[in-house]
Amino acid sequence: MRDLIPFYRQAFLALLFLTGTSLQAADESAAVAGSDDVHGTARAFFAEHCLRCHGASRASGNLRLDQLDSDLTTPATLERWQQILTRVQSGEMPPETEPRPQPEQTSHVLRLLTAWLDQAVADQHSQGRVVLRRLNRVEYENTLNDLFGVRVSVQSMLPEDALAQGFDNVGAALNISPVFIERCLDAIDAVLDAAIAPVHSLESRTERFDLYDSLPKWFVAGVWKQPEGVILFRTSGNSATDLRQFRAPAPGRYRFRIAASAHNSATPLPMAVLLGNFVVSGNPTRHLGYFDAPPGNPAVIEFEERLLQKNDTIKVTPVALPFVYLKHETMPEYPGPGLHIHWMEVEGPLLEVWPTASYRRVFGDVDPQRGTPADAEQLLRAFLPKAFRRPIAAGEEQPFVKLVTASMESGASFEAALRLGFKAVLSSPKFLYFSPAADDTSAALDDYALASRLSYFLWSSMPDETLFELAARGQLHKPDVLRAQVERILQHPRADTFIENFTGQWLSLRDINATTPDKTLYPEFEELLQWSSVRETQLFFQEMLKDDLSVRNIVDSDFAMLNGRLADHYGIPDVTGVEFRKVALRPEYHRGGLLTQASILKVTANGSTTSPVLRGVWVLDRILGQPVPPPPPNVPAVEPDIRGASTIRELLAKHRASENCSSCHSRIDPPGFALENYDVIGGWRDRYRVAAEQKDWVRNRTGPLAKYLAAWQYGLGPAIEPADTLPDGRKFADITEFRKMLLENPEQLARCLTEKLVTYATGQPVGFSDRRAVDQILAETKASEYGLRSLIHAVVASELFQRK
Amino acid sequence: MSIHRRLSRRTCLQAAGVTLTLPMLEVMNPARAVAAVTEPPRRMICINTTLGLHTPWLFPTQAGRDYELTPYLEPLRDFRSDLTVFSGLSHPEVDGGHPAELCYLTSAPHPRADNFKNTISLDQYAVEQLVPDTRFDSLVLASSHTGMSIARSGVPIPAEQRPSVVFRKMFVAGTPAEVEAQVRKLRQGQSIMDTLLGEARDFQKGLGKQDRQKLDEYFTSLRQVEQRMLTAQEWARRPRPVVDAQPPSDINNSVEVVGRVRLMIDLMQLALQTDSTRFITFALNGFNAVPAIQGVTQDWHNLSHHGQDPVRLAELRVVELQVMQLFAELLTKLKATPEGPGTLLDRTIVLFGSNLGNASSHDNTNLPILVAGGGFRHGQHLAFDPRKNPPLCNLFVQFLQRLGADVSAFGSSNGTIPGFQMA
Repeated sequence: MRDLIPFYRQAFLALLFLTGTSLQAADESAAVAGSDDVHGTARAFFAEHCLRCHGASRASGNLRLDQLDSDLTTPATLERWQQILTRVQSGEMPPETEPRPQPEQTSHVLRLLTAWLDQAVADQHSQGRVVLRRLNRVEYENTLNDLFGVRVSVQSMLPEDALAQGFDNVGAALNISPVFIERCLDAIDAVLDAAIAPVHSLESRTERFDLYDSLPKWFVAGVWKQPEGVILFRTSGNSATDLRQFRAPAPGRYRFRIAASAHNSATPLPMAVLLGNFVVSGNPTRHLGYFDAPPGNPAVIEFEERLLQKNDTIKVTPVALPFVYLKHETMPEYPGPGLHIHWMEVEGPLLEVWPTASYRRVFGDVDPQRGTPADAEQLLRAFLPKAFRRPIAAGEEQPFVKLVTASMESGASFEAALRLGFKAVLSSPKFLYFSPAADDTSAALDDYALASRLSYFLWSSMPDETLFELAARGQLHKPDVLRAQVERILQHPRADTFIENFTGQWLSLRDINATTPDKTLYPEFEELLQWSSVRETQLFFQEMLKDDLSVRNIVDSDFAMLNGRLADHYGIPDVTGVEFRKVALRPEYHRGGLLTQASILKVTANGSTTSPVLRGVWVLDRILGQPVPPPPPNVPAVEPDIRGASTIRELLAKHRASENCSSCHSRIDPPGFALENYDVIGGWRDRYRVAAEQKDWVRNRTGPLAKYLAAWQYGLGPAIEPADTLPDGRKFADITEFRKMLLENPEQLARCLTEKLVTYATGQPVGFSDRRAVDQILAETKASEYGLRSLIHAVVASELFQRK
Repeated sequence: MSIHRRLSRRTCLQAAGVTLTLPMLEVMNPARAVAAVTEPPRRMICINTTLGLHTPWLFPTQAGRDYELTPYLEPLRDFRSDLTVFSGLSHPEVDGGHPAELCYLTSAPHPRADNFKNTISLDQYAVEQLVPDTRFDSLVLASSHTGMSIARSGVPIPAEQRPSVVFRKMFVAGTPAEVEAQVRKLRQGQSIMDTLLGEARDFQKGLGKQDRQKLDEYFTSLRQVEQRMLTAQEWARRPRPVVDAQPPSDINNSVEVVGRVRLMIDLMQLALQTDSTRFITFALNGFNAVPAIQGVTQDWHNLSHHGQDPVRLAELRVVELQVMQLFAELLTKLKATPEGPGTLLDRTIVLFGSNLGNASSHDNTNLPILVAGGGFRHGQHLAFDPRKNPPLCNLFVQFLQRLGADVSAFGSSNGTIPGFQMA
């Protein structure tokens, strides 16, 4: 039932908005409003406005308000009341056709009901705040992989996890279905298959190739052969530049060396490297990353990677080169840049050890040909505490041992029977769910549960040996020990998982692929830009985390994390190459903070237009912690018109003129308009780009490449008008002034981020009754100006984190 | 035994160009055979084209039987008397643009809300109500992305995108040894479920009241998996229907939307014809790439956000006409498959529509909805108030009733659709 909390928060904020009541006042009303007051007021309200339809005579929607139970400990009753509150709060009920209640009357009854329902939720918290929650698919995959020391992607085998408050690890939203259980069994098989997979016993050999010799005939006209290697001019996902002369003789580890340089370029040129089988379509390919080819002498790029299938190979392709039309015979005179691949070398398959570490995680020292039930018992007894993330009680392994024994008795092989045992363990509720393992659920978590909460918070996986050991010694909960562990965990490379998963959800970075920018309007968009923009935000967050930077940096910062591609996109000079670095910002760059990062600007737009409404809603929800209720029913969305006849401002002006809409849109639109100077891919603009006739196209065919370049096919439309007025009457001219206004209240930013962190860390959204604990976190971190690392320490130290 | 039916059905199927040796199902299940003799089963296919359809080119301006064909109805000209066009229907309070895909068959309100919890989808509810004795209780398919069937607990059922996989499971019989291995695996699965039930009871002891309720879901799922494993064992031993059709080769490139959807159409027809399943959902997923359709140069998703730009609208029309053409191909196949005195289409409700009424503005009202076949009186355009849409679930209730379920409500229904009647 605690999935209702988000609603309360929302309703509560909406209520504040409706009534202008302060939090304090509402809190007092909660204290003074006995349930008699609530019922009396509600009954009077119902009698006046609702019973005609929801009473004895009609019972519309099967709802009898005169017979409603008021025992909120029954979940269904609480839910019912919650629904009633939603309907009244949204103005949906009483319906428009009925006489409207006075606004004061509505807000009074809403205030009482909200406080009463909040109290009921708080009472539930006395049973422990966090709803029983299972591993989500990311955690499930990481945990299985860690248990067996493999890297197998199984999350796509499982049903998608539902989100709550924007996060996929909230217990109330993580349900279990028969399909989920069936798919788990398949996923375990896949992991065990990989863990015990045999390894090759081939001799390693080293071979050097000229990429030109690998290119298929139909492709060679698109490249320029050199005495050593080949120059590539074209950026394309479908280019046939995989090294076909090399095919992995067996799955295994290989060492690759690529000699590459930049042709006709004063700065390094980026190249993408992929692994996979590029001939048999449908085989997965793995994107390894981007590397620099420097001007002048070739650089040798060297790395070691695992090829997963026989016949896999490597592919290199230039990225982000100018889009040009180039005939083969003009390549020598073409003055533009190209990627020169001098040679490629493969060494491998590198020697493997047998048995592998992962094989030993399954079978230990047991020879599966001779394994006995007693061996299985021993293996399971060692495995269970890791799988259940706590010591096991005497005999707790017995059900699994019985399962394996019975299976062997009925003729199954040791391996088959043991697999059965592992499957049962890894589908057991003791594995799938986080268990508080404390009788008194309002008490502090024991050290094992604390270890799990900590490692799933910052690693999205199970605790490591050190955490288990500290839990076993009963040390972990000690404040200095816990603090030291948080430091250790954050310094571990695995903490990248936290950055990726938390920012992926808090900042919607996981949606980066949801739209593809319109090729006509945004011809400069390509894969490296998209990858770089997500990386920028992750590295910016990492920088805040590393140096304990203030939450003020969310809104504005004097630095950015950039590579050459992004700096080019932002119009910032003197940054080259694919490597990211910290760059000092100047006002004329129009950048700083999260809000002006290309990733954020892309995920809050669709592929062709920006909407101040979507961006405004996003800023209020993610940055300011003031989510807006969904629009009332039957309000048509603003229909975009890119023909340039009407600007979004003109369209929205109609919205804001209506009294019904303006209450929310006066809050939503300003942050959205402040960001209107940034286009759908996060580029700065003074005018909109619009579809246009050829004569009005923006000219890009200038300079030495003029005759080769593909023409841009968009024109320029109306000027951007970013100025707006906040609901409190303060006016801003542009993003710079808007950011200053946001910075006046860093506590608001910190509160919002804290709530997101607590939700993510505990798998439970922050409710009204968690307010005091959140206040305390804020008080503790104020001295650091709400530094990100301080906030994380304070969250871990808080009772929200340490109690169920 | 129902020799009569076997013969007549095989003859019919041969006529349709597919030789089909009926398995001995009827022998093994006399009760079912009796029912089957009297009438062929009723079925349902639900299709969602997830990026919507530009409804000004779909909805006729006139309501009733004498409507003029619109551009998008043109490909369906031959099926005029087999289908009904609905305008002005939607799921009340289902909003939020694309996430409403999840609610197309469920009607759970506000899919973007923080406390959103989905509910059971129409097809799964039909399975619950009617408990079909078929190899697959339902088929959940998608052309390139996620599907739209939702289990009772609100968890989406992963959709299969590879026709070859479904075909193999449905028609390719294993060797006796493989069958035995399969049965053994299922039996072992059952013993895992037994063990897990014990585990869950043990785990439950430490939990408070709230968490126990949460764990109920786990218990329920275990019992259902156990049951499914049991029926799967029976089915593993029953011979598979033999079909002439070649196993499909999957098309891996998701932009090859026409080829991919055609493979699914073939599969759906075969699945119904052989009574391998009676309930199919198929998400015809739009995507963020240029579909491989002649004359289309822009990303499909961007085209759907046409913003009234005539150039984009022209390309969008090409894409959507192709989609309508594919729907017509499905109807053609179903209608060309004789069954009993009629055709497969007569016994198959085909819902074709979208969760988006206006993709350009992410609007979820006034959904494009077409219904063909299945034993209804078709041939009209039923138009409802665009500002006050009746619930789409009213139509779903009629589907359920037509399928034989004794229900009077589903999801957000508050009645039935006036003017839409069983044949």
